[in-house]
Amino acid sequence: MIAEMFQALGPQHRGPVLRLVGWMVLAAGLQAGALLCLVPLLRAVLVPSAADPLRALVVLIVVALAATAVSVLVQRGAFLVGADIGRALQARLAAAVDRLPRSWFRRGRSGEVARLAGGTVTATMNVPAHFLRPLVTAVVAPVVLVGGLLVVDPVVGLVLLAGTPLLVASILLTDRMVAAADGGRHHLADTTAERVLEFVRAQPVLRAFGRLSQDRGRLGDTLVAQRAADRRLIRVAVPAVLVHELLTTAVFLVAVGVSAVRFADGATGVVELLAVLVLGLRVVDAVSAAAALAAGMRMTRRSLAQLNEVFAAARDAGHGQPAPADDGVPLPDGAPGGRPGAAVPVAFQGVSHRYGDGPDAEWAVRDVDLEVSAPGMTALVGPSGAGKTTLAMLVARTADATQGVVTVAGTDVRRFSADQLLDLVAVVPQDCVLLDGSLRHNLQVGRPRASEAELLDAVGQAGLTELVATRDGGLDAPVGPRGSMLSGGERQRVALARAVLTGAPVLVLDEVTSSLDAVHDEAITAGLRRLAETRTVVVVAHRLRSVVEADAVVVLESGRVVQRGRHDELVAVDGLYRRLWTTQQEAAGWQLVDAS
Amino acid sequence: MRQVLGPVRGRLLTATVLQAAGSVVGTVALIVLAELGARAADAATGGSPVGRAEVVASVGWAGAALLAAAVLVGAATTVSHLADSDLQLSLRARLVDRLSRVRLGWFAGTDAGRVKKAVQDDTGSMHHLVAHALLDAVGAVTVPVTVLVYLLATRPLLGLPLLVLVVVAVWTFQATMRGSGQRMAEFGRRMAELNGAAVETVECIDVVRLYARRGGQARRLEQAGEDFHGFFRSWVGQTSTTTAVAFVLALPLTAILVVVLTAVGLVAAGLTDVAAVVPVLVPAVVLAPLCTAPVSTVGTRLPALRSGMAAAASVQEVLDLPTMPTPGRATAEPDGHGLRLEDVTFGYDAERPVLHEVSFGCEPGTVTAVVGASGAGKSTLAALLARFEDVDSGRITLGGVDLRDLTTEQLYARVGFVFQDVVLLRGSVHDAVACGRPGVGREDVVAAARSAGIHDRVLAEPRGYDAEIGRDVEFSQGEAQRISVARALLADTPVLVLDEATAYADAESEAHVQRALSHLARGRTVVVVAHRLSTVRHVDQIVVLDDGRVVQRGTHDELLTDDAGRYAALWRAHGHDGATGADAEPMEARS
Repeated sequence: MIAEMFQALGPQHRGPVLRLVGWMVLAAGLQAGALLCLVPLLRAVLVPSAADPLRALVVLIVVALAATAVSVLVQRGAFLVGADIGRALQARLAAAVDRLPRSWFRRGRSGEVARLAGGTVTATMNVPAHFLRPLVTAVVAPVVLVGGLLVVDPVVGLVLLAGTPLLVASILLTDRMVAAADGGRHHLADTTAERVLEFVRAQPVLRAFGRLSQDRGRLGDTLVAQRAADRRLIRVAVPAVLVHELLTTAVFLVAVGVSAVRFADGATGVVELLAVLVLGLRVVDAVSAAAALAAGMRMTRRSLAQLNEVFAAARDAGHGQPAPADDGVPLPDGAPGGRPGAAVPVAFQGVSHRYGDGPDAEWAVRDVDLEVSAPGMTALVGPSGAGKTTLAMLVARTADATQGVVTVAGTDVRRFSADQLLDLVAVVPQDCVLLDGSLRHNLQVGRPRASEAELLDAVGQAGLTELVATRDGGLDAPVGPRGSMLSGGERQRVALARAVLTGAPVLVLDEVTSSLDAVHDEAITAGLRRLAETRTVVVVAHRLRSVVEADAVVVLESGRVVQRGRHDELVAVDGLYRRLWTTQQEAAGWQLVDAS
Repeated sequence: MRQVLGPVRGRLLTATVLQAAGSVVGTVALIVLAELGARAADAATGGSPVGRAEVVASVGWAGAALLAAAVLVGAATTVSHLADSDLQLSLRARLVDRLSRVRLGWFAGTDAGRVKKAVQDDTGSMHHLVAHALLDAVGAVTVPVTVLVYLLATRPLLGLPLLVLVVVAVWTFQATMRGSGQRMAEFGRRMAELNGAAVETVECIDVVRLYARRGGQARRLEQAGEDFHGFFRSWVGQTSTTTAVAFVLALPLTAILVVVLTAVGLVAAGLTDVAAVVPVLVPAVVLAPLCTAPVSTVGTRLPALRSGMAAAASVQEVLDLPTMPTPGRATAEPDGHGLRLEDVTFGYDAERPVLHEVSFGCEPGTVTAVVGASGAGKSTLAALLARFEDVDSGRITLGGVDLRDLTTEQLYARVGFVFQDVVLLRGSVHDAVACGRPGVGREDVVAAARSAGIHDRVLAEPRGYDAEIGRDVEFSQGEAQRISVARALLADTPVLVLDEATAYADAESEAHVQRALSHLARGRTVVVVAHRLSTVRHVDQIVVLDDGRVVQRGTHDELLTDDAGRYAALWRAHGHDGATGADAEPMEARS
């Protein structure tokens, strides 16, 4: 757990933690030392003509006070270091999330990050105060106390010493056995969680098709299996812990027994017997306290390992890519900050891209050479899986091309700093998720100080005027968490309006495939046409209707460009484009019931 | 809480008794050993010598008692853990049972993750509460009480200061908790914000990356983290000294020091002499740490305890969800397959109805389209027909019988639906189409798949109809919809509720899905939610909804005759101004 924590914290936080551990060693040592001071006091009192009891008492009090003072400081320090650890981990997590590759953000990740930020980080804050201190005590106290007892009564000291490896072995063995039983259980718990999700999501189907009892039965089986795994763990863990406690007690009892018998036989003094009784019990206590932490430590270790996986993924994300220039290159004309009004060209030179780097990873985009007209609207079309979205997103650097170069304003996109790229390229992805807040808030993210007129203009260009007019509160209407109060198409139009506001000279838009708002297609297309008069617009078009007006159409198939031209030209020749067009035209004329 | 733990209350009581007994017996063992020490000290200061037999008896009894204590505590732990695992199973089973009876509409408004949290995570979080916290508390009380009672009875002068120490330690600890209610509330708020920020950041990562810097505002996750930890750090800063003092008060050394110094004080005051005080002191020194140790463990356990309580509350919340009443067995048999809505009013929240007194009928074997602007209540109407929700007032009848008087089996044997959100069940493609229907052979499945235009796609898979969905094959949304059409074809229900949006979910599947839907609609009582008016021009009846009310009803041609009507307005808004469409009469000609 400690190793995982250090790994998660990074080297710069090692120092404070190690210093704290040093102080903990001192505190535990002083505490144990104070206990040892009881022995001379007892001897002074019980053995006539021994040293002065008063002196022994003063020594005990001095050491005890020192121990108390250091302990207060250490415990206080432990809380503060814990709080710092929490803050550092939180910052590292936020930074890691920022660096993670786009591919990392699949389903379920939001829950994972929330769990890490809320659970793991807060749990780790408790490590210094609630784990490190007892652990250090569990090591230091026995060492000092057994060492002292070895001096006081070597026979008994040796008995305790002989017991130590036994106890350590038992702790390790118990931990391993429980961890093994626990591991299988967690796997099963994940399966159950998945089944529950499925059961919930499929409720309508399950009920409608009479599958309810069948599936509930299947889920029930999983639940029963989970209980069986729980029981297996109980069968292993409870006896293991019991055996460990008995072993600890046995070592203590044997030491006391040996000492007491020797005392009865006159082989040892009363002070030695009392020392074993008082100090031996402290050893047992310290070891038991640490053993009781095992379950919590296992849990913390597991969640820290998850945190480290995220950190590792974020680290790996940086490999194999040229680092962006820190200050970037001079901004091209047309970009906010550059000379306004100039169009910014986009080009692909020998671009190939594939996801993953396994030998069997298929190329999503293959050998694309393309110059996108600027200003103007270029539509990427093709069957699903043709690589349209992949190609478009390379412009925004949500991924870097495996081979070849993507340029914006003649410069390799990898040479721009992240901030510069934001100024240059605005992206409207297909699955737009909005920030929790008002429409206005979501738009202003694009331009914080936009005037009301600018906001309304953007709203108009994105075909949102009617939405804003009909919502209570207009621009101040809430959109709900993730924009859940809007439909998918509405969310995308908000994202489009936001992109318009950013003023970025290049706009990449991935049309929604399913849209209940077909009626708004016209409005959006009109807005895009207007934008294309001054900006470079790349549209991933799933519906060919919006393509008719494009300045250039690029037809992709299996990652390669197979046709390019204007709609009129392409539809006139036999080819993929015409086939796609014909199918869609037929679909548009469909009727559920024929006229007959 | 009480309610949630109900099923295992008896066993938890047993565990409590076992744990208490084990704690007492274990403490007694240590008392026996401590008294052996006292005897030895007494012997050393002039008392009768300690014999070997006495030693062996003491150590033997102590050993036996420690063994018994371990067994008792082990038994208590076993009982509580078994009770916990049974409780988890029974709670999960009850949750699943409840979930299979709540209204389907509830799922639409609820994140599946939240449900999973209640069923899986929350029941798990209660583990600490049920299996550990109770027994910990019992031990934390029993051991100090036993020791204090014994010491006060046998050595009141040393027991009393120890009692004072315990009181002071507990009081100090409470002092650290003072005002924590308010702080805990703030802690919870900031934690919730952190959670929300994490979820939003991950889900909106593109937006966060592309715009947050540009917006000139700190990233929400970073900010929430800073806020949370800033708050926490200042809280810790204010309480850490008091808490540290409380911890140190609970250290074994402190308790030992208190009794030693008390003894020294007694000697100094001349109340006793050195020789007499040692036999009195020894048991106190051995036992004193047992009194205060539990105080320090409370702090470590508190967070787990709190999350356990919260988990229990959220489990109870799901268990308390209202269910949809269905008769246990068939009481009435529908006569025919006509649908009728009578004064149906419904709202997701009772204050704001989405549908107002909607009435219309669908003759058996006819197609009815429901049209209207978005937000007019079309999809809600479809949800009511498939009984995902129950009407607030009025009624919906199928063959003259109220939907609420039909068993689930009766209802869904007659009413099928194809909605936008397609969920394919785990299993093979064959299973996904057959949907567990008995007596359905491969040839039936193939026929349905062929009609739904998905057969060729399935054959493209190496394992064909045996391909496992999610493992061997992933279907696109459009493909999944075709499978759901095949499923509906095979189910062959006489009544069908469908969402026309299904037909254009995925441009490439569009033609296939359309053909399949047309095929499916033939010869059934169909209610279709139409988003494009052009697709439903020839249906038998069009119901026009506006703001939850039926404003017009009739065929396409009939409705267009009212130029000022809602339908004509919709028709124009969809780009059909005048002569568009082969069958639409030029409107000028009609007016």
